[in-house]
Amino acid sequence: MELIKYKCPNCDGGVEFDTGTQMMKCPFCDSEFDVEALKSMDDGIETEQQDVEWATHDDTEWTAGEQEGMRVYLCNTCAGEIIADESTAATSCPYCTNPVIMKGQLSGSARPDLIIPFKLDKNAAMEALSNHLKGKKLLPKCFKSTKRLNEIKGLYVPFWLFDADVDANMRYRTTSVRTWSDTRFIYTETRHFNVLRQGALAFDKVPVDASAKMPADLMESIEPFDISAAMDFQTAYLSGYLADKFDFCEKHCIDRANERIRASTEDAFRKTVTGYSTVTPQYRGVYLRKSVVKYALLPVWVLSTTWRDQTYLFAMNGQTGKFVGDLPTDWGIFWKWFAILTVIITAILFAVAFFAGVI
Amino acid sequence: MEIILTLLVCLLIAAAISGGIMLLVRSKLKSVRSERTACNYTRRNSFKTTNSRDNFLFNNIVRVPIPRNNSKK
Repeated sequence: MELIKYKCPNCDGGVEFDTGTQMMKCPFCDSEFDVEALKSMDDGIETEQQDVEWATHDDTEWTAGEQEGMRVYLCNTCAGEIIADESTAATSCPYCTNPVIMKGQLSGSARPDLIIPFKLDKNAAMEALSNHLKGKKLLPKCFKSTKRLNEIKGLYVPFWLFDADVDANMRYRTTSVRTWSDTRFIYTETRHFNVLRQGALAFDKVPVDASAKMPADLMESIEPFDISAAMDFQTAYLSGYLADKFDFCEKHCIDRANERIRASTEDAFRKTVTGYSTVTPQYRGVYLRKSVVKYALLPVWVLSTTWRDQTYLFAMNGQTGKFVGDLPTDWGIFWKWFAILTVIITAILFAVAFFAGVI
Repeated sequence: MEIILTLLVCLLIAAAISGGIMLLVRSKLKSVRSERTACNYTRRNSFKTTNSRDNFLFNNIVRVPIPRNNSKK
């Protein structure tokens, strides 16, 4: 039921009908008003003073897909709520900045076997970025400032490490060409061979990126890691850094390891076939005899910057300092130098043609 | 006409050389690439060849006559 209350236009007090005057009278300021006039005045005020109607927030709920990858934790120091995705194993509290390690993400089958602790700090990463940007003639000038960095984070990236003993059986068709001549003919002799090589090769700790967030080619670009310096995993190493649990299991990553091991084996045996004009592989049998898999966290400094709405990701090996990252091209400078070089080389070639008597 | 043709040929060759140089300089901006092999992780002294045979199959000889210059007329 809507409630109506008349207010005195003079003092805003509640007016009452005065039976003596047959008018509305304010008991506070003794003002008298005609009933109809008061009602019309109130209607006008109501129209003017209508509350702003806020569009209310639609009651929406998290869809199943949105909630799937989310985890909520409470910081032990400040009880702040930390929202992280399901693969985060270490982070820092956004409120008190204290390091936080999610033990549940690193227990049981998710507990890493090995970890290579960070050897290089954030300053080294910043310096490496500066050096990476130096001497790049086609890099846009405004990209060169390190102040445009969005973020820099020390991250332990999950890797699967594959040990493998390999047997190989290779067959090649080769040719050896010899040329000689006499007074009448030029002779070309081609001798054909069937070459067989069999043997074995072993690999230790071939790393394969197990994180969905880190691009695999970026992680392979910062190799090699010196796995001999890896330590048995302790959660204490994670403090102060971010860490992720693996997204891909070892079965998902084994194909990539096999691909690299196979390529290395083929190259190693191919190098033993020497002294021929041509070598054509006929059969390449590579068999993994023994395979051991370990789970490790390897240190990576990740830097990102945005330029012209595109994100550029850089990575530095936190152990060796190797720094990689694709850079944009200033096409204006590119075409300018192309034109200058073309003019200069044209002039040189024309001069050579002129003095050589071609024209 | 000959001069223009020569200039055009020089321009084309120069453009090709310049393009090659500039693409080489541009390639310095790209440092992210997948590793094809695992050669950095080969166990030292683990490479062994247990069987190594080079078998001769056959040969063929091609002879091409040397063109004679008829200088005497």
